Amino acid sequence: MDALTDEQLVVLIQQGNINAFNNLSQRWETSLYRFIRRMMGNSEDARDVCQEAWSKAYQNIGSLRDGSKFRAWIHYIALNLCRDRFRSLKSKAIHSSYEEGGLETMPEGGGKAAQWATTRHVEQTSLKTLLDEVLTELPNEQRTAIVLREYQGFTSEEIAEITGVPAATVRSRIFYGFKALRRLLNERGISPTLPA
Amino acid sequence: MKRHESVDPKIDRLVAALYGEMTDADRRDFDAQLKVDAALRTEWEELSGTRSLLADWEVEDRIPSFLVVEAGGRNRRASAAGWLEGFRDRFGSWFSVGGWVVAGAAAAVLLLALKGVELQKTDGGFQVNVGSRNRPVTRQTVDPLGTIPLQVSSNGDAGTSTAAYLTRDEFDKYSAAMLRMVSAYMNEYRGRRDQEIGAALRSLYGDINAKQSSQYADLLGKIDATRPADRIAHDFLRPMELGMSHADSLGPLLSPEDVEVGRNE
Repeated sequence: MDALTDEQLVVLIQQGNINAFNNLSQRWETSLYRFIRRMMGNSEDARDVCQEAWSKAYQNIGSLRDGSKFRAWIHYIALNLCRDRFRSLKSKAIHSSYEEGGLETMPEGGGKAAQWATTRHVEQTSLKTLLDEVLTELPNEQRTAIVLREYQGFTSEEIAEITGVPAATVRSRIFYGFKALRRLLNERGISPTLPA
Repeated sequence: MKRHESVDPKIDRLVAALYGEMTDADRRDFDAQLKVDAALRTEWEELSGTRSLLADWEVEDRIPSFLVVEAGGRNRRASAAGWLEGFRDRFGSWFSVGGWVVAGAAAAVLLLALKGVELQKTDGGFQVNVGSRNRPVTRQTVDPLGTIPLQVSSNGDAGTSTAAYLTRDEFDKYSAAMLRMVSAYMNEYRGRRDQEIGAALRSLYGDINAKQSSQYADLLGKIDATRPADRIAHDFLRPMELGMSHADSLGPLLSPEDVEVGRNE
């Protein structure tokens, strides 16, 4: 069954073959989890979303007409679940900030104390941890475009199908995402340069 | 439905070039423009430099699996894995080296029980029964010396026929060998902190000792009756090698001729 294409496996699944679905999920579980983990920024939420994504995929695979697009389809499901989760977390954060004294009490841009903490932070954490932090600070659209292109290997056209925007817009989001990333890294004392 | 947005063509070309989403002809044009356009070159270098950092953004989490399991059906992959994990969680601490020995012994006992083998404690030690309880069981006594043709009937009687007799000397050697064997096992385990095995061996030894002691006089009488010429009472009752010997428990067995009743020195 490992030799079968996604399209062939989807046909088997639609005929009721559970093993075919397990084979397909085994094929893409690592890739999908890494995508969700990079989008959510933490393992706990990533595991929940991942589980839910596979569950939804299993429930709805009967509606997938083109089996060759399974990989893009499961990413589309996962992306929507990530968005739902962000919305839920955001509303919780706003609710929490009101309880703690209102939004106006939150420091804009971190302030001096935050900058000092950031400088120390750079000294103490690895680049990997730093990237984990700054990439989650990017706007969702930009992070989505960068993660799907850079790590998931989708083309701009495929990302356009997943996200529902033109491919040129995807490339624009990647460009501005990189700009923002560079600025965030500069703020933390890292200056990305072209490798020699 | 895709929305149409106006995107700066320069940005579009930069990203397309970055990810190789250009035709060869477009790429040649882009490279040519890079040589003459300093602003474009700066953007390109910044973009490429930032991208090069992203290789360090790794995810090292354990990847969760998702498996569909048919309830009560054929596909039991997930449930089997779950059972194994649950078993490991519950009994993980058993799976040390010692734990495997205990588990192996328990499995062997279980297997023997399933095969109809029964271990039964008797007043003289342990008896292994094979098959149905109602089926006649052949008893075989292990001969530790390897030379004495010893046959014992089911009630432990050495027999009275000339074909199955024991001399005192033979019986003495046999008993001594048996006790040496038990003694050796006890010495082996004495250094170990395994109280259960020690207690079991002490119990076994006690049972053997008690059984032999009780039958000793009877057997001697039978041996004497069969072969009076072989009677060598003083040699027979030499001290055993264990701390508590037959000699200690019974005292020296002397023939009536050697005993002087009423003499008090």
